[in-house]
Amino acid sequence: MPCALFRGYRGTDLPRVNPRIRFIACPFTGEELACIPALRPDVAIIHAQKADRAGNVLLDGIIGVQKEAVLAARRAIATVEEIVDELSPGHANAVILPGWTLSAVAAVPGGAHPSYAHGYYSRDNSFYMEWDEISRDRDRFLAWMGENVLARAPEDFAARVRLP
Amino acid sequence: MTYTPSEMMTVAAARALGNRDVCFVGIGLPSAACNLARLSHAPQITLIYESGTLETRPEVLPLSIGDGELCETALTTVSVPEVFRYWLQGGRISIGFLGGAQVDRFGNLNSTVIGPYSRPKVRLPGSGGASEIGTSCGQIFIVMPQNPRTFVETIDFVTTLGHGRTGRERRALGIPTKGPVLIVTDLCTMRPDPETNEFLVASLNPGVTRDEVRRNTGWEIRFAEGMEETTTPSAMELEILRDLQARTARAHGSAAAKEKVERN
Repeated sequence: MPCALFRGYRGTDLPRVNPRIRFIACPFTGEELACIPALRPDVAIIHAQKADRAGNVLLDGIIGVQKEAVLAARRAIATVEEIVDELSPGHANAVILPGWTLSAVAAVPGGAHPSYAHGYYSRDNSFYMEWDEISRDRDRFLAWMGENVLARAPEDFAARVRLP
Repeated sequence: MTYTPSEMMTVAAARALGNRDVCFVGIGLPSAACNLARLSHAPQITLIYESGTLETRPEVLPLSIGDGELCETALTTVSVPEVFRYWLQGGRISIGFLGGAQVDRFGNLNSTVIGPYSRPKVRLPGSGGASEIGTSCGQIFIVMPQNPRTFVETIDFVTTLGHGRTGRERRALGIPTKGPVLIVTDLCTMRPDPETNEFLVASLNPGVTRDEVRRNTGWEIRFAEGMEETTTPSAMELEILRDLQARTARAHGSAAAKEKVERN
């Protein structure tokens, strides 16, 4: 859909500074509704629990807008904790993205670090605390990025978390 | 039992909640107050966080709305679009519990920016769900530490509509929900005047004077007729709150975490 509707924003300063928040009248009730344009990302990248060999991906826990992000994007990549023979979702309403909605699926155990993967490992809270300070200082940020991201590979994630 | 002004504030905010409330919870002080209510006098209260966790019962306070703890202890977890469309905007939430960096006499909240928007002195986290919460919940409770920088004559930016710049904007805009009906601070509690919607001091916390409240309010604060003294925290309430905060600090792995939870 080209836009989403909300009841909020009326009477606030947000529409004044964000031209993407506009208002329309409901054609049925006349109620004034806020409306924002759809986001169509070029690429969405998500991390999930598991994929099967056909590339179907199972999401579990706080799902946020991950499914929506994948379906809104022109291309999508999922990294997963593990690739399994059977997804075994457990019940009929599990959140599953079919393989044909994704451009690529890759196993990256620990790939959610410093965040968590529901059912696999918990969040590295002390990292988040440290990040508050690192992110305030450009030099510390660049040094950290060099050491922990640019000089590293996907295989390094597994060692950063306590996998079951 | 001795207690801090911050503990008094959290306890007073918790007491405003009851078993039948369905509460949309903001992170920080609101989260501490809502969970204190759940662990003390309102075990049946329904707490909902905007990450989609419905009827959550966290053992420790979350650092963010995305904490796994909220999901693991929830009755069920829905997607973010669903929690906003069907639960919040669908009118299922009776109380929204918010904080902010600035509030004015009509309960309008700023969590966007200090200073002009185009040349900010401090850029704040922003609305998140607050703007929607302010419009769609049946009523709004606010909890914030009170000083001249937070309780101001004119807020720098209206992120969340209270009663508007005139006190009467909700009706003019056709918004049917009540908006802010209670502000709890470390000095007092406030309720809106039924005629003008201007917040008046409804109770002073023990040991706090009218002058102290005046000095810490950026507008000419008025005191309600029949103003009372806020009831002191009981030993049980303090014990539950301190246990919760100690568990939280341990779980988040540092003293910095405790400080952060309290600061928020």
